[in-house]
Amino acid sequence: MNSNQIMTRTGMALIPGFLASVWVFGLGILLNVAAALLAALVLEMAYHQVRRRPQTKASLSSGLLAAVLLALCLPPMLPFGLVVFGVAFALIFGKFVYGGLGQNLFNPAMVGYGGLILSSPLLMTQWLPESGVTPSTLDLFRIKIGLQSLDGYTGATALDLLRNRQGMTLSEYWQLAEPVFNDQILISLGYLLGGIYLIQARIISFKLPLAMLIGLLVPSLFLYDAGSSSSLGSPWLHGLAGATMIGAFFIITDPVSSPNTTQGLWIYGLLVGGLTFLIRGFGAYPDGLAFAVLLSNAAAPLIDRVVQLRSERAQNR
Amino acid sequence: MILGYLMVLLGCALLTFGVVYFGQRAFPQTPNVVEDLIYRTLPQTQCAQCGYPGCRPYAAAVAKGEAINRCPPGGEALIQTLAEMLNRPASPLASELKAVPVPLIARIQESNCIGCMLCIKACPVDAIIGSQNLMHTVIESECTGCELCLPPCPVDCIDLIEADSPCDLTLRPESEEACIFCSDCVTACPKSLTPQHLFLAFDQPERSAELGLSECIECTLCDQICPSELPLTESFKRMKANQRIIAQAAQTAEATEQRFLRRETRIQTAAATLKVRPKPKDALALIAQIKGGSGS
Repeated sequence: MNSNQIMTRTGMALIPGFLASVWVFGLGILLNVAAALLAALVLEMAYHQVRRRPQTKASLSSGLLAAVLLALCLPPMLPFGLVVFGVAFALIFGKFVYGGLGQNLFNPAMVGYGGLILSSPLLMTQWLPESGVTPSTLDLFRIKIGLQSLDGYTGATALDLLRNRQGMTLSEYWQLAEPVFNDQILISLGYLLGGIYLIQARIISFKLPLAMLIGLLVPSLFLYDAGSSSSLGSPWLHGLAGATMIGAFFIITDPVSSPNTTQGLWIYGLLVGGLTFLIRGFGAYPDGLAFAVLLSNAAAPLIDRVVQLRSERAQNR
Repeated sequence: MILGYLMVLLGCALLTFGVVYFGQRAFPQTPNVVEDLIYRTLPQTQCAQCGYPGCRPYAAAVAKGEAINRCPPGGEALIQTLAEMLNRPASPLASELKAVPVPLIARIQESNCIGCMLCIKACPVDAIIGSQNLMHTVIESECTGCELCLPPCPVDCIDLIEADSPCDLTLRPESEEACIFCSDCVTACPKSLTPQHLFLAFDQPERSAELGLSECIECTLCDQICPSELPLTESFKRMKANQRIIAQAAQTAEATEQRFLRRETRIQTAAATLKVRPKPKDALALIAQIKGGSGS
């Protein structure tokens, strides 16, 4: 299997999760993905024109994959301008400035997500209330091209509610969040299905997702404290809410920005999971996956170096 | 409020300044690093065509700002390399200098040589052997083709001939895809090397030596597993060949420099220890002095 096929099949494995997202959040997700793909295609071609290097299949497909991953993390009502900005930020500052495929330090999709959530935090946390009114297709288009504001339609995700619950106990919170969360389970299971296919096809190794889930779920199990008002959420919530599944199987398994050593992979996965839990519990943003991934990306070369030095020392002994 | 921001900015600036300042003091730069680097790129002909007596002085001058286009044996390739290395604009060879398009060496027409020793004295690297009234000859492997022996020859019996062309460095093999750093090759490698890092270090001999290039047994297992189908083993073969060439060139350059330096010191000591025979006038005065001394 060559690099291009790996990227393509990873993209294929996203389909169940993508379909579930469209089912839950409506056409907005489809439009996001389409806009992101188009923007990525134009950017990749422009980049290879500017650098006067021949376009390779793997570079193109990895760029498209990064754009799709980013688009799947974006709320459905986000205006097109911001989607395109996110993709451009992801590819230019996450990939091109480092010299293209294989050279980047950070995961491009998460660079784009980080840029978007820092520059427009309000728009990035406005998701549709799953049980409430959904806008008509015409209204959706008007919102997407920025003609109409989206106040009437938006609601928060389960993790947003958890962050801003202001002293509710978890059972009170759960009454509010359960309908929201039940729909998210469907999406998470879609990504889980795709992830299992990837492991089974030997495109990714089971180590990274497992390490990340351990890093996220074990602390949440110990700090759950049976649902008081200062509880940080149950493992069930953390495992299936937000970006956990797409992150564990599709984002942190990016070969370029993850460590190269086997031991390093375990450390890296645990680090992403632990940081995600910390940011969700104590940080300023409801879902900390993007920042956890970016921080761990920055640490990946160091992790590799430490692991290599340790094994060299063990050999010399 | 604004004062607070200013304090933070000032604090950051001071902190950065402190780190840089004390860092520079803690790790002083070796002054000759640039000079050494330039010197090692020069072709080691010691021909003095640049106007400096040998390659080392020219390297020192370039490090201090002399033009980089004054080395004819190095040619365009050297100017390009130096321009890139020193971040200076590349310019064609200085107009008053004669270009040397192919590497040359001197050869003496042995039937015409009269054994005058003049070329032996002119050779900066002691590559000509012979003695008074006997035929001279050029040691081919040691001649740098500097042309310094041509003007002194009274019978014009020295020709410049094309040297055996040195082996060129081979280039990185073409590959369609880029490395995606999946590190599958690391798991495949039976010698636990890191082929993906080695592949990136194609033009960095020191780095690839550090990564254990010489331990690669060229088993092609990494080629078979690489999802980008990179020509890994082929690259490593070429890197090894290149390293041999580079090492050989470095060895030759080192030997040439040693010969040049030995000759310099020999000339200097000869000049210092030379006893000047007294002129007749002085000799008479000396005799008179000795006589007068014994008389008194």
